[in-house]
Amino acid sequence: MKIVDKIIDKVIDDVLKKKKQPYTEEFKAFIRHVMMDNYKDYEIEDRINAIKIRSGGTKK
Amino acid sequence: MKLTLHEIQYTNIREMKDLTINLCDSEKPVHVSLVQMPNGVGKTTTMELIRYCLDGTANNLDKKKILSFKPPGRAVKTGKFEIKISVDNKIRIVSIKFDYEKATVTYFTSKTSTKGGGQSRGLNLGREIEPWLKDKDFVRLFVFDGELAGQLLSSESTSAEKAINALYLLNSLKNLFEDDGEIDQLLNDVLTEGAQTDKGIKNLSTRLRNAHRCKKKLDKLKADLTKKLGTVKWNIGDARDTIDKLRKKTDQLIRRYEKLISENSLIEKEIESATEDLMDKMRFPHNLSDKLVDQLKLLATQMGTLKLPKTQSMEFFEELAESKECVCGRPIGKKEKEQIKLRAKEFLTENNIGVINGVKTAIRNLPAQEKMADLVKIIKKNNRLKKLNERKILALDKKTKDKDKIKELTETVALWRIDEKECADQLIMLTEKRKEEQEIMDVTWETNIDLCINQIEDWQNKLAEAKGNVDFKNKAMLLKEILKQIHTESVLRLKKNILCKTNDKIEKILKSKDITISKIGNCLSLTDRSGVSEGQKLSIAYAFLSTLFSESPHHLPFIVDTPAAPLDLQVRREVAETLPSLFTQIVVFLTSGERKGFADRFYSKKSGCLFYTVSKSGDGVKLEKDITFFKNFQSEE
Repeated sequence: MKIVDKIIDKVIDDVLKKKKQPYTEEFKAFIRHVMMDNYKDYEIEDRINAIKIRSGGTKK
Repeated sequence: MKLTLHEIQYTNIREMKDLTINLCDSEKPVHVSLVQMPNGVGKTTTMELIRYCLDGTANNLDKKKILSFKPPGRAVKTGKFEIKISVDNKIRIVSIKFDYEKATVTYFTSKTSTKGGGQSRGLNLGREIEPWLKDKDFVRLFVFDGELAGQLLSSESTSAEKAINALYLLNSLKNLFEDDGEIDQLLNDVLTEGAQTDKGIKNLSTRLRNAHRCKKKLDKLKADLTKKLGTVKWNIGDARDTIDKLRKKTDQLIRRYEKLISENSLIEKEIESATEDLMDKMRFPHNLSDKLVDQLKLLATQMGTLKLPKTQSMEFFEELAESKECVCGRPIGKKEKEQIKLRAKEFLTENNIGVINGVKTAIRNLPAQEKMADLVKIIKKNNRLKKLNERKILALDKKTKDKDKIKELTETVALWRIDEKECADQLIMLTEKRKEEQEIMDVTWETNIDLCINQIEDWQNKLAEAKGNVDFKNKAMLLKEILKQIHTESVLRLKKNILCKTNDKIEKILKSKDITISKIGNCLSLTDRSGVSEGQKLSIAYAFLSTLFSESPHHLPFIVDTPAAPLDLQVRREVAETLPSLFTQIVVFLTSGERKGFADRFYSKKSGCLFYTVSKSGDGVKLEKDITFFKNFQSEE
């Protein structure tokens, strides 16, 4: 694994943890697909649906 | 993605009637291809055309630019530039056909290695590569544009940030979370879907679509204004540099001009004074020449035999005859008396003899001769100096015409300043986020991006509420926020990583710790320095780009022209050693002046190097593939 990939993976971990989001590995896979420009619209919809909203709604 | 360049072919492109540069050995691209071309043969043209083949921007060329590729002085109607590349081991042939009569270009792409087979109109390189190549800035990174080196260090530029986003595929992430990006579009589709059934929802959907359209328009306006502002600022900076240089040059010229004028004034005074002296001396004829003096003296001698005036001297002889004693003291007798009276006539003549005697006296008493040759020399020398100075003054007079250029440029800068202020004011109105300022400026959601975003959000909320999609909308917004944070944080950490490695490379290339990068923002910031030389700029760019490429998921060739011209020998050697280790393929277009220190580092490599020389021949060019020819080629520059 290249250093760049490691850096980005670590960032994903950190941000998802901070935002208290589940499904880290799936999220990472999605980000990889996006970066390689190799994804379908339904993947975005799935990701949106997989987002966990904390009580109190979204924080702007 | 792995991209390699296999072949370049020109047909009726400028001086190149029919030329093919094969960059392969046994169908495989060689590691290093050095193509030697004298200036004016087509290095820049080739680089431009390769970029057009990859990013598709030849479609935007104006007629003048298209016709600039037409062979000069030849009546040809069409031309073609073609590259054969491999994308993830699949061969693609991209051709740009030039119609010089209509001044148009057409792209063709062939997906097989057989020319003409499977050729389709347009640029179709495939999904694997096109999203990146459409980014013009991405192509400039590896079909290296020398200007980029300067832009990486320019505070007006965002080239460094762009390069990181392009090479580490982070642009795709941006496309997702940006306003009007893919998440917004998907959300818009979900929210407006089936809106035809309810009048209220239909109304909201229409408003939301209009707001999105308005947002796009405002974003485009912002991009245009930012670009214009950047260009204007760059133009102003460039013009001010030119003015400073011209002013410095003109000031020196004016000082020289004034010095010459003052010198000439002194010379004229010297000529005047020497001429006056000369005129004074010329009033004495004996000063004119030695010959004249000799002649005068001869005249005086001959005049010595002349006689006495009769009326004044007869009485003297009569009185002498009557005297008892001669003036010599001897006695005068009768015989002597008769002789004096008789011979007196021999010594007497007419009265004008006095004048002649006067001349005789004057000649005998001539003053010492004064030499005039020195004065003549002084006058001649000063005249020569004066003429020389006058020629210099005339030449300087023409050169000081730069004063007009300075005036013209200063006026243009003043106009640009107005443009700059207008652009900046419009941008402030467009991007102002503070509520009070927005009210003072009297902006609405149709003229201010921040208000437009709020308006879109408001209608999205209302629409989501009306359609029961509030949860989905909130999740989409949160996903956007998460992606944005991932992007920002990734760029930040990547920059930190790249910064250390770039500084290590700069030290290795420049053999000095004096130049370091302190920060990678939109551009590269130097530590405690406001500027560097052209060679150092290029070295920093190579260090930065090679760090980026070494970590990039893309395997790209590095195509560059005149890579070593501004570098000194030591830096050339380092660049020649460093570049090949960072790229799977390097194609270098260079001049004979870059052989020393750069190309000569490759002579000893037994394989993996090609040495081409393209030179002018008659009204076209010829190609030599021979290392000995390459080493000894001398251009006529």
